[in-house]
Amino acid sequence: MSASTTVAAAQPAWLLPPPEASFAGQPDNLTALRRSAWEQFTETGLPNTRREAWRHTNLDPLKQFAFRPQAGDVPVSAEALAPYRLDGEIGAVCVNGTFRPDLSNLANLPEGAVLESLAAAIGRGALEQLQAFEFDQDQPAEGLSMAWLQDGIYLQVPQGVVIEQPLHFYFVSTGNDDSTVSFPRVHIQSGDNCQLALVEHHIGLGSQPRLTCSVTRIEVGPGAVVEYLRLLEEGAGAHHLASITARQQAGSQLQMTGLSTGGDLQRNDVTAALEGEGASHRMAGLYLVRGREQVDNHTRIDHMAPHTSSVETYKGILDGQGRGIFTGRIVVHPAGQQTDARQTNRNLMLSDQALVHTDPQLEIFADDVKCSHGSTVGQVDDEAMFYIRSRGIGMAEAHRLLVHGFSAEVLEQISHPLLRAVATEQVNRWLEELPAP
Amino acid sequence: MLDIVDLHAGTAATAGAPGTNGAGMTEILTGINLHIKAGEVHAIMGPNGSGKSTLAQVLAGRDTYEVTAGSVTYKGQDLLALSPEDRARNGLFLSFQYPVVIPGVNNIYLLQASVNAIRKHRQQEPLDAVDFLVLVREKIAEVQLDESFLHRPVNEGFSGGEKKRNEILQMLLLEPSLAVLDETDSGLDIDALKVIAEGVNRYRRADRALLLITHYQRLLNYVEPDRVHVLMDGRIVKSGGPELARELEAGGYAPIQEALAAAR
Repeated sequence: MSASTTVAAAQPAWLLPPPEASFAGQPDNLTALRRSAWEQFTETGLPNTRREAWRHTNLDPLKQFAFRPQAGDVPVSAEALAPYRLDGEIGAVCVNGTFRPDLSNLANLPEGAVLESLAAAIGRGALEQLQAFEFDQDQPAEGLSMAWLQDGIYLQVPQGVVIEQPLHFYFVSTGNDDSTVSFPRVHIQSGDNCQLALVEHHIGLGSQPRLTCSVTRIEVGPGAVVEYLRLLEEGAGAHHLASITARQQAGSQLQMTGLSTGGDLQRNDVTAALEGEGASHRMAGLYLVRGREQVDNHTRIDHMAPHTSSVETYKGILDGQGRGIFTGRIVVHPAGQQTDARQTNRNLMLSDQALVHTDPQLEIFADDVKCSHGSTVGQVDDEAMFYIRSRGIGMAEAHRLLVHGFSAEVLEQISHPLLRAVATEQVNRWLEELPAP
Repeated sequence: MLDIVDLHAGTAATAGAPGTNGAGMTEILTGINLHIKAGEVHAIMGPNGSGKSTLAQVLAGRDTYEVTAGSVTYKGQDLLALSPEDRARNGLFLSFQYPVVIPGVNNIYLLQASVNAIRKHRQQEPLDAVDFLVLVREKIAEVQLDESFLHRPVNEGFSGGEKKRNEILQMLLLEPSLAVLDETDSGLDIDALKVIAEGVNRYRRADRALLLITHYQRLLNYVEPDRVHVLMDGRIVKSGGPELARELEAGGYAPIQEALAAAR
């Protein structure tokens, strides 16, 4: 008889059970949720490329990184965030996933609205929807986020409250000596007929490889008008797995715009459920990819009630050996009569070596609906280039002008002027580094 | 100001196609000679397909056309060696027959960027947004275009006449020395034609020249040319004074074509 030994491949810390210390001081209900989430996640682990939803994005290379959760109480200077501040904003800051009142400025929050640490909100039982956790293997960000959850931001806006100043949620990841993993999480509950505009802004201050698993939940009450802008500008070494889900009640309006520039790998799963009659939704995305970066967008819009409408506009600009993926599914449920759904995905290729996969999917189970989709992949228009140059503008500037023009359709859809301005600045920063053709 | 000598140009074509020469080119311009002095207005007329627009595009530097022989000298320098933007910066302006729609780029943004690119070349300070707005309001009134067109994407949703007015607006703002107007009068109603003609006459000066490419004589009723040239099969086959335009209007191109055939 010979003894055999099996050496398991060493797992990085972020794929091992969360240490007991990470549960210290947390409310019991959160601990229970986390343990349940870990058990479910560990049964299947990260999805592989044999799964349809992950066909184009291989997560295996992430396993080589020893990402480690960082403390949330590390010093972050106010100057680091100063360039991003918006006039009159209600700013809430999380560092490595932990809410930081010392860096936040909630002075302009109207009376009645609640903006606080998510752990605190869970502890006092404010989040009914977090009673149980059910893991879907295609959503690893959800599983990891729940298993490791430390904190996040909870916003609750009661009936009829109108917030005119933009809400600005900052998620800062640090770590110059260590690879960082963070699990930022946002829960938004907007009551009947309230109005708000929100920026969720992910900023990487570290230089090491890092992973962010972010989860955002938006509940839009009847008649509420909500605008949500998501900015990802995390720089080289950043990996981001995101899950954003929204539910809309009758007569509500929700506009979600995602802007991705920079970062090695991003996966954005965005879903909207139009549950109430007459709910209308606008979903827009802009992904700007260069070098060897990859952005994978999976969107889904469910029309579950009569007279609901959605307009989805995703645009990609791909340079270098960048890769972009757009998989957009629109599902019209049997109850979704008189649905009006339009989807477009347009891609501008700036390099021969860039690659894009575009895959629109319509599933219609109602008979009286209007649905359309279209996708295009193209290059900079030579004629337009010549026209602009014939007006004295040099080749590099003409090129930037046309590329910016391509992005404008998405930027112009952003309603709140300060949100549009901050998104435009981010696009301009990307364009400044655009090489001449 | 402009000296075109024996200019040949064409596009790359599949070998063996009709009109293809040995180098695999479809030759469109087959030996143009044209001399324009400062202060002069020249008109080029000719039937469809004679090469009028090709000439305009070659002068502005469109790289889909290849110049195979000849020379173009503009203000003493080799025009063909300059990039399209350098031609514009040196005072050449082309009013496009089909102005290009540019989604997502505001008209006023392009206008300001153009004016400042050319000012920079002339070593003038750039105009800031306020000064530029004052200037552009003055010029847009001259072409009778509503100010709302400044804030729309370039040519997007503009009617034919509005596009042509926008071209003339660009010309008035950029103050070129040589303006080439490629069928700027086509498809215009009489009111729009007058507005365009007024803009062109306002541009005329002793130190500026104008090349009008047109199908019809009617623009020439408002903008009197010094010379009129007939372009056929890629070369100028007849030149004359303003009376030549009136002859063509009355008799068409057939008599010239017949005379050419008889001479062959």
